[in-house]
Amino acid sequence: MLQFRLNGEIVEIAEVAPHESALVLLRETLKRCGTKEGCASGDCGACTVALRDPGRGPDARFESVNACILPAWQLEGLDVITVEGLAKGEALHPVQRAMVDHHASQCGFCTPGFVMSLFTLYHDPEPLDDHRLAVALGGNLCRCTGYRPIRAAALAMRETAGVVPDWIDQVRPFAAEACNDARAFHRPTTLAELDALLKRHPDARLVAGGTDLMLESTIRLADFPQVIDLTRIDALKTIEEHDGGWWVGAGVTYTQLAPLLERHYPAFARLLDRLGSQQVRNRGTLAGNVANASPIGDTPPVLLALDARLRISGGDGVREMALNDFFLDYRRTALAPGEYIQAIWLPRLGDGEQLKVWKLSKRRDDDISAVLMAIRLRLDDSYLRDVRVAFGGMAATPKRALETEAELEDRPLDEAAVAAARAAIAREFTPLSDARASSDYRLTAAGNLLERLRLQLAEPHVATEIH
Amino acid sequence: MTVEALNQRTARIDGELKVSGGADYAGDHQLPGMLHGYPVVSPVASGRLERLDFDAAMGAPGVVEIIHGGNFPRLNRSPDSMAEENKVGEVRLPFEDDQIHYHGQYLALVVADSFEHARAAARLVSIEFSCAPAVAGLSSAGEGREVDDEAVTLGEPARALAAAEVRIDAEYRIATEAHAVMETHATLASWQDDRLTVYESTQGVVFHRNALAQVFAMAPEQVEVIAHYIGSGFGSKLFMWPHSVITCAAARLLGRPVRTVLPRQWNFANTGHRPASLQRVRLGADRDGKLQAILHDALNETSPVEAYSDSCASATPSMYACDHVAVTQRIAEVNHGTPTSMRAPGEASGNFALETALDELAVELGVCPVELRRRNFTVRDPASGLPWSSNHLLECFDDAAGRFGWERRDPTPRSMRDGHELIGYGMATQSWSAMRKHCTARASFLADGRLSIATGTQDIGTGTYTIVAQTASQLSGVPLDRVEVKLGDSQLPAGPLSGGSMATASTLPAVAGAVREAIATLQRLSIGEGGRFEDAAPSALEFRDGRLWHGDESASVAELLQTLERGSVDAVVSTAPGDEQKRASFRSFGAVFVEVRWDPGISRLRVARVVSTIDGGRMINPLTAHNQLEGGVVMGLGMALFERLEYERDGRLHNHNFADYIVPVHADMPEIELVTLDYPDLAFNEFGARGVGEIGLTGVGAAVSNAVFHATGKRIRELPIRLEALLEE
Repeated sequence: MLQFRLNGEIVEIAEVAPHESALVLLRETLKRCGTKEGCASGDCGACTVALRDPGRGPDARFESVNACILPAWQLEGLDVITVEGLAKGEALHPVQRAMVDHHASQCGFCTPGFVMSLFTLYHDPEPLDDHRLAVALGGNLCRCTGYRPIRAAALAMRETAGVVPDWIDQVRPFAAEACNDARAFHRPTTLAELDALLKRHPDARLVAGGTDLMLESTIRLADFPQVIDLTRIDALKTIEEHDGGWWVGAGVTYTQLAPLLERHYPAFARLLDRLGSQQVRNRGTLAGNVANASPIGDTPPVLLALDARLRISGGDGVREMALNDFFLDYRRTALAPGEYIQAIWLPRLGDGEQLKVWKLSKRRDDDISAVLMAIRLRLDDSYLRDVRVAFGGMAATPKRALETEAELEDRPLDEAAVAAARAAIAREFTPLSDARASSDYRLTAAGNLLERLRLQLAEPHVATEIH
Repeated sequence: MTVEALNQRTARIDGELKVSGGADYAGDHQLPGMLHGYPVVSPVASGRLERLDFDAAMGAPGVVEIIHGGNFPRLNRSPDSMAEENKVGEVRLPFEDDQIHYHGQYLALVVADSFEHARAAARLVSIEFSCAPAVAGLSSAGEGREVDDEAVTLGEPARALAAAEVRIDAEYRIATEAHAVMETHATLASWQDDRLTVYESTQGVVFHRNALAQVFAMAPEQVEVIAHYIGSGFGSKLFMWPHSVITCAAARLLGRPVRTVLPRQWNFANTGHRPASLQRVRLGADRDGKLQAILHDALNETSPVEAYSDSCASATPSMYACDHVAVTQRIAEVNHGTPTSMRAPGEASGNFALETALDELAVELGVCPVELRRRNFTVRDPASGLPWSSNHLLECFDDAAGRFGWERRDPTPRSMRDGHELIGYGMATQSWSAMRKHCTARASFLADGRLSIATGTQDIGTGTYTIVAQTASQLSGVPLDRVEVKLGDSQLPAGPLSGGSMATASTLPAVAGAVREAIATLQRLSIGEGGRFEDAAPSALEFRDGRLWHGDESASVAELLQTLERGSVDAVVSTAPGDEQKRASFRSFGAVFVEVRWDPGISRLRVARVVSTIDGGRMINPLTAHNQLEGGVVMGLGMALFERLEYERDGRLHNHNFADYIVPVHADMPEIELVTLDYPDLAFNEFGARGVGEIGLTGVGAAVSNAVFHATGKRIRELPIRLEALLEE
């Protein structure tokens, strides 16, 4: 039996299939149809709902998620807020009031999703600024309004009168009945349980955020007989700090990782703002992005440039490997059956070391990169040392640019060095032409990014960030 | 109360419902015993269906039946007539033959007890097919065939072109563009004996009802089509598509309600799109820039099963003062799904070609693009020879250019910079024809004091509920919150499609007529036997502020009805366009100015600013009107920069999802400053409204490409503008 608290009321559902999405559960089983399906792939945000884990105590915050690609079982024990839950009788929540006052809906179909994205922003104690607003709205598509009225509503919502349901401010944990649906959706709480389950079900699919895996069900119509959920295992949700860096557990979401990146890898943090959407970042994990092994995943090139390592578990215990050895071919990795990524090692940047990241995509937000370049370097009196360059979107896997690194190592980054590196890129990469970009575009743009790096190092005062 | 006062910034009356999840869309309805449909579609673009094997799927949990060619009932094709109001998106009946015409074509519908069961079983259907070579795109479709009745010739264009001092001759391409509505199409069909009730996401409940009645050989009153709320349409929901027929047939066959909500990926294949087009424009002008000849030849893709013409050049003869004009339209079959109207159909595409060509002419002549258009302004419609009913295009140019700061433009390409970025200014004329159709509306004063208005049009998000309510409220004096508006049901008095920017101009006259007629009836009854003002002279009565006055005495509607012992007083009024089209040409105009910023290093193009001034007649509700116009501009930016339905070399769809079909997001939005001039076009209807759904989008593509030329020196004649086309090292 699945138990959670929906808009302040505890609901129990007897049977839930392992691949079932929270959206299907809400709309079909519970007949709460305010939450809409726009794409079933986490791209449009029409299905946005807010989650809060009351187990986290008074600090628990609401997080927006795409219900269409959230396994229904992951609602267990959580506060789930949908668009139907905000108004108190006739009295609208300030977010809703502001949306009405500012004319922020036309057809209204995307509206519930926008309301819920703004709801999480409204209840976030941080002050509202342009950046936070853009981040909150980046994952919601609207085809009618052109967005300006929605933005106006967001800017006005905190000064708008309205009524907030009392239960919103009360974080009351409740004892969800332990999930014992051993049939199909497993929710281990320790690594030992996880290992045992993996032995029993070596073909089971592992899910954390589900932001990629669930599309296999909603779009490719696949069936998952067995699913093992990683989100309940505390040991996977920690970030361990060491002198040389951090072990980031496989269950740590992008949102949870963000403060660390902000402090130690600002360029990585900026990239995170443009990875998927807030809804995706609230569920997705670094480990998921790595294990998925997509050639256009956003984080692998950055991790390659950082010389990240993986702690892999399962099978015969725990082993470590360099990320550089992990990607074997298009969507093929060094993971053996029954193995999983337990944690990712992020080396601390040394003195003088810098990390730069550029993502090129057609659309500013909520878009897949055409080319992503990450570079780590140390400047030694204008000489480049310890250069690592990695690209996404340029080969069948995320890939280090070894020849390019060699061209750049131990020399100043002048025009000649850029030209040599440009030639090296053309030697070691033959990117594809596809809908996102042509091969020529990718090669040229990759070289131009190095030129941009040169300008940035030569004239640090010139704005070269890409927004 | 005169209609002059009808310019009210009334907030959307359905806003509260929409922000709290209470608005009911077709896919939200559930009926007892309802089954769920999930389509099985062709995996290839061309070939023949050899065999479907349902063994595994029929054995899957929850599957009730699979509907396919073998068990599909014999139905009738719709006559597909605009005049008869039964036009459909695709006239071919589902499963009619074994031919595979396009990727995503329906081959079967799995019907199961739950959505998830239907979806899971759909994968288990095995499809045997043979492939045939596909025409994968317009570029390999040949010359196609000319569309009858669309060629227009004024004067002697060929001779005038040959004699012109300056000539432009260029080809323009536009990619297939998807409506990408937020709500995918959905049908819930339910039969009670010989009555069919359908919840459908449609822009035309009457058209849809009529089409279903034809297909299922029923009297129209046996079919009810309901669409209370629609998750936008932009043209894709004007005319019936096959999923609706399949779902209705499945419900009849199984004796249970069936609901099909199209999955996003197949919504891209089966519900129309703006067709790819290839246009050639030839302009001839004298040295002063006076147009001597315009020749505009358009070709658009259509599907193998439907002869869809986008009429790209249809507006061209009306746009500028030119005595020698020729336009033609051709269509060529491509193995893609059937195209249909998409926001500003035809004109949006034609405008891109014509307005880019004019920019090329301006460059050739060394004349300011705004000045070139001014010199060719026409005081009458060259196509009809009639004067414009109301045309303030010149003021649009002045107003928009002034607000934009056009005078700062240095005409030399690549001459304006800001740091890394090259800045470009571009502009274009905007335009959309004004249309009006018949409409019937009912107004009912109810005993509890409310005023109920009903008409069988629908609100696709544009604000029809709101402007109908505010019109009725202002004409009657009944407060807005006491006016109830019923739309979106084919059982109501017949109303127009919500499309072509004609709903407002068509609907409001009927609503006003019905309200006035209901007031007159109420007055007549109130001076009759048993009435509140029995035997009073009609001239001594006045109806204002929701009350009937006789000298100093007055009574509310509720009191009047109570005295009469009536539950309601109703009036039904039908209105239709008169002969005004014989006296004038009706068209909205505007001017749009765009600033682009081009970063050559990373080949990045951004639109920084859009300024537009629109002459669209009176704005009934400036809020809803601006909302639509702004949304139109943003969709125009999508067309200019991102939107392109991609096909593989074998004609299969490539990017039929929201991750890969790129529509603008919040972060892409430039500053948009939009002004409407608000000159009422009283020759068109008593409200002076011409409608604003389409015009905002027109001109944006050309203005962007013209600005790109100014920024980069590269003339782009293709939408969307590919970064590759601008790439430099």
